[in-house]
Amino acid sequence: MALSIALRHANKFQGYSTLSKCLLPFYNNAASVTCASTHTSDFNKPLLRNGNISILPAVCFLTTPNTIFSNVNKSAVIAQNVRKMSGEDHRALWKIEKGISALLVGLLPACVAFPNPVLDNLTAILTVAHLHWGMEAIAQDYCRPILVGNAVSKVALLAVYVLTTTTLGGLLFFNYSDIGIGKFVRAVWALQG
Amino acid sequence: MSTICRLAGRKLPFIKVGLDRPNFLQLSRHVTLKPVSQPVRGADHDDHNMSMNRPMSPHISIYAFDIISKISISHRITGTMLGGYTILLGTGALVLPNKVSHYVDALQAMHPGAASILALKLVLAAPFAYHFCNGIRHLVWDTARFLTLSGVHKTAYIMLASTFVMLIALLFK
Ligand code: HEM
Repeated sequence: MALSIALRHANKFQGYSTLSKCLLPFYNNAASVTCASTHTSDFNKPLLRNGNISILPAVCFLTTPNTIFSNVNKSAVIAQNVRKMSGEDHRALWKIEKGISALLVGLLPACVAFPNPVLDNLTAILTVAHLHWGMEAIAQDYCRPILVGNAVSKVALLAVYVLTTTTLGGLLFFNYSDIGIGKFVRAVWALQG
Repeated sequence: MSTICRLAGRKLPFIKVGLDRPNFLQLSRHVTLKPVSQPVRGADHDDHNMSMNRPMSPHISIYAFDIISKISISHRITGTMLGGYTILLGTGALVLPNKVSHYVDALQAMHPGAASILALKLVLAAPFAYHFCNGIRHLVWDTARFLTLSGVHKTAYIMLASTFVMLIALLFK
């Protein structure tokens, strides 16, 4: 009987143990944490707001009973499973990417409404920065080494850098030698049928 | 022991949900615990999948291509279109023999007709309005708001309505 109770509740113990693994990082680092699981942590990134968990990824926990019940060092498990995309810490850059996207919301209308060299150049730089990360994300998604091979993957990323450089250079040159981005948009919109 | 097993297998009379009354055993979740070897952890997502013998994971074709998926991929498509226009303007300024504004004047001199101008504005403004509004939706998500199924749907409809209003405003301005 005791055995049957233990067996029936085994999944709960397992749940608690994995839950505590998920929760522990929140105390360690409230900014950005990763859910610890043995197999799927690469895809996990719980989002939090005001310290509450908004999303916990659905994961399948299949572990040896030994691991579940043994007194493992939890922070060691977490440290081992913290998501490191491409081996780098992307947290700081992520904030910059999103900050620039948010700036574009105000900047692009302002640039067309009040065309001037400062807004034109700011628009060129921030738009191309945003475009660069966008193209990089697309290249990394569709040209993964596992799908297209290392060479093609590298060429795709190189192409992104080439396009970013020429586009930024071209737009700054356009602002310098021509009417500028803001006035250009106005000129296109002023076209008559 | 046999009594316990017999009782556990009986249909539960007090539970009326569904056509089939469950028995006690069916109510408890069956979990099979089996030892699996720890996969070799590579440096990144690709290495990891490679070591698990999963060339593409999760495979996209297992998901239904519903309205939310279409809205999602449209953000990437419109972003790519806007990127294309931006690259065209930048490279155009570098390689074209005349100033870009010269070609705008030349286009005007051709008197292309109201329909063509409207079509031009449509292919420029539609991706912009969509990407602008859905970009804001993304940024709201990035503050961990509306990240529920109903939140994703609600914001989608607000985004589509805003895109429509913005597009009309841009086209007939
Ligand atoms: C107010 C203006 C804009 C806002 C708020 C905005 C916002 C965003 C956001 C939040 C993303 C990331 C989507 C994600 O997390 O998957 C994104 C992606 C992207 N954006 Fe923008 N964007 C704006 C304008 C532009 C412009 C002008 C361009 C073109 C030069 C552009 C090109 C792209 C591209 C190529 C992507 C990558 C698509 C992807 O990864 O799926 N965006 N945008």
